[in-house]
Amino acid sequence: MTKPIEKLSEDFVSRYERDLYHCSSCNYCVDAVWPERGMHAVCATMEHHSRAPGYSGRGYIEAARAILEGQPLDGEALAERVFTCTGCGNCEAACPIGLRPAAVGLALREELLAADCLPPALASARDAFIAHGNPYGVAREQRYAWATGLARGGDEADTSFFAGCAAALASGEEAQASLALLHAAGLQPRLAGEGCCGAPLAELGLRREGEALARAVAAQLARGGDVLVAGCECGRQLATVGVASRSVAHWLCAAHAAGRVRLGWKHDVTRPAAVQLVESCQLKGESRDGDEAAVAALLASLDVALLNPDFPNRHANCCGAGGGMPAMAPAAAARMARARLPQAGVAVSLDARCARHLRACADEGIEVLGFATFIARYFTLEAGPTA
Amino acid sequence: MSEPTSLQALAGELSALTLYADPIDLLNYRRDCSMVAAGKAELAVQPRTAEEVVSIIEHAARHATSIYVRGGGTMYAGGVNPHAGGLVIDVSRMTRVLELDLARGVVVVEPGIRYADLLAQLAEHGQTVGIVPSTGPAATVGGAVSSHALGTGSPRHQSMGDCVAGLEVVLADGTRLRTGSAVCRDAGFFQRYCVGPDLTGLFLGADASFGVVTAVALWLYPLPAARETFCLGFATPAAAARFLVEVQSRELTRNVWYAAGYEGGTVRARVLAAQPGFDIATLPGYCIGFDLGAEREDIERDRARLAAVAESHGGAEFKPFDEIYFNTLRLDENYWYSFAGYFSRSRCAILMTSLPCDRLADFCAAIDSLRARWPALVWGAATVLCRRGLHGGVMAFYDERTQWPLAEQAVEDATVLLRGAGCVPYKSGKLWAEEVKRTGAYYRVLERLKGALDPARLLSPGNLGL
Repeated sequence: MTKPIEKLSEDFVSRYERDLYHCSSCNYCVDAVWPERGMHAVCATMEHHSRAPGYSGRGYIEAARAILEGQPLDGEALAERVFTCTGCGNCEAACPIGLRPAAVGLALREELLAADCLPPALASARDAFIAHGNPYGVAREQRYAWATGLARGGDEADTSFFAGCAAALASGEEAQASLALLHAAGLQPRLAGEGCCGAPLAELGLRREGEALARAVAAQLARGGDVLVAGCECGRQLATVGVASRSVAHWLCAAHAAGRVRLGWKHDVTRPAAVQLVESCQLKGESRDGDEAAVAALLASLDVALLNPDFPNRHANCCGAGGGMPAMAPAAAARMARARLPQAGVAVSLDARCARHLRACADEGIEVLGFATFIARYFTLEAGPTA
Repeated sequence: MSEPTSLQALAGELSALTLYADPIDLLNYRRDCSMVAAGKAELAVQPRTAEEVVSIIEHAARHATSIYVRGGGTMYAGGVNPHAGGLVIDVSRMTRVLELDLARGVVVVEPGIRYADLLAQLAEHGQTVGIVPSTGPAATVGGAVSSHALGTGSPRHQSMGDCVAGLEVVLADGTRLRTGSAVCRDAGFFQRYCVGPDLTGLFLGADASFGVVTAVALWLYPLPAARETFCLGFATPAAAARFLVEVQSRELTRNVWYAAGYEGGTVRARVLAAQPGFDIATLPGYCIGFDLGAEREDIERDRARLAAVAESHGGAEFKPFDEIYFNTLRLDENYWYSFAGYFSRSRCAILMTSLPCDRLADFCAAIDSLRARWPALVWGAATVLCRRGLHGGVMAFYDERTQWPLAEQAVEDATVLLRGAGCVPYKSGKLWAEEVKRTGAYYRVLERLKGALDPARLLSPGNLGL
């Protein structure tokens, strides 16, 4: 056994002991099939990467409990299992007594990092992050290249827009489209954040380091104003340091419903016959649960036909962008993505990170767009009567 | 535990199959949902076909390796916990529907299919199966037949075995056996009692002690056109018992898909949690929830009949419990563990017992006694109505880190108390095996059958301790 994990930190035990000892091993978090709840498979990693039960939510609980009770486990083998969790949270949604197997897995990542058991594929991602301050290897000074020539609010602006790395750096198109929507509605937000919000570090098990970056972003936001984000994971990460934010999609839906903006089909583009909306795991639970439902309602009001009328399914499987999957098991991550995409046509995701991954894995004939990009491409937007 | 060299050799021979040897993965095979002490699996394999099961058993036999069989792992009796180490055959990848014969009214499935999956496929044809266990969305058909599952359908049928048309089983020597009408291969599965004694029954509720189930033939039933729930309240468990005796003797459960009884304390806790100002003087001492399924006019007729019988025993409809709890439990397709978790949000030791309806008051008195004798644990109880008699579920909620020994003692005590109350406690973990041994001749015959079918004792001793 290389790098045996023989004990867990006091912090881990104090946070998760109850989860370890109240689990009844009912296996809901492993293999539940629950059509009434839209749950056809709990875990995308188990569907597409490995059926070994150590990869399941229960597997994390069993592993942690075994270590706690004196059974050393191989660090590298455990790391392969917990870092390939996508963090979608389905296992927690399935638990009949509200235990937190995904959180136990995330906390095990911290323990594994402390034992120098970060999988090699993720170690290089971490090093690249540290070198550039973002997960995409883009030079720090290029963070706002996407906004070159675009108007932006100054210190007096009461709305902040935080584009996030996936929207700002991976292609820039989604960040540009988001800002264009805000401008069209008459808003001129301050572009906030000199660096990443820390979500990728938190996902690697560097929780405290991630929170430090989130606090740094929080310090740059307009005080007391609206905080809009293009990346769903950014919103979640900022919430860990007490910053309430909402997605551009949520803002647009609310503004449209209140009559502050008007949307209409552009005349010079070919309308897609139907669109597949792809759920983001980052929008599950917490205060963002309604974002995707609002988008479905908005698109219905605009006569956009959906290929998946059951959207949003709160138990949809991860598209493969989450956790260590893309770096550690790219083939499995691509299978996860293809399982979420239509046979042909347009797919839209509210999460810039998901959109980037889906686009990279999409077969020919499928176009994947971020939500703001989709709206900006097909619709005109102007300030409404109640603006 | 197995010799390391023979285990390695076995792993090598099975390497073409999906095999798990990493201790991290094997941790998940060490126990089921019960409070029974964990075992230690040394190797696990996920076959995809019956042929692979035959091959696995033949290889394991050559190495004298113990074999345990596992479906969804949702049972609460410890029968799959690998106390002797060895190999776990995890059938959760055997999920195919092998035959769906609507004309004969039979579906033949592999053992690892999840109920929810099967029900969704059958619903497309307007069909369902007789019994759907309460153990949750991960429960498998193979696990249900191997553990005498009960739940939805019990008032119409009884237990799982009453809805099984036949089985295919692989014995410890690799023999592939079909039971019921399927003993004649050209005939297939359609009747269970054809050729002499019923061998199907030998493998039901046996935890793979006598063989590994590789296919299950279940009878089909039409999905009800409509469903409706309602609850009846009674002053005491004794009054409820008299009502149930009359309901069963008059065969009024034909359209009852599920019915569960709740102690007054449970009813009170749920009602007051939802409506704190509720007048407790109007709460019943015992409440029975019914889930009726049939044509609308048949539901109305049966509901009226049940209400009339209840009235003759001093009972009456108690709507608040239906609105607050029972309707959601049934029509939102929640499961028993969800119910248990809702109750206490902690780990739960479950002891099942069979009881005749006329012993309901004794059953409830035993639960009250357990509360007084083991006050450190939180106790709950519910009964599921069967076509004849009841199944009683006794739940002890405990903290496994600090209270496992206490809970184990308490469940042993519960077993003794319930037996004294005229009940038949089972699925109480290790005590169940002890209980079976007390049956004398019955146990000795089971032992001889085990010796004949599995002389090397390769297959799991199961809950029977064989």
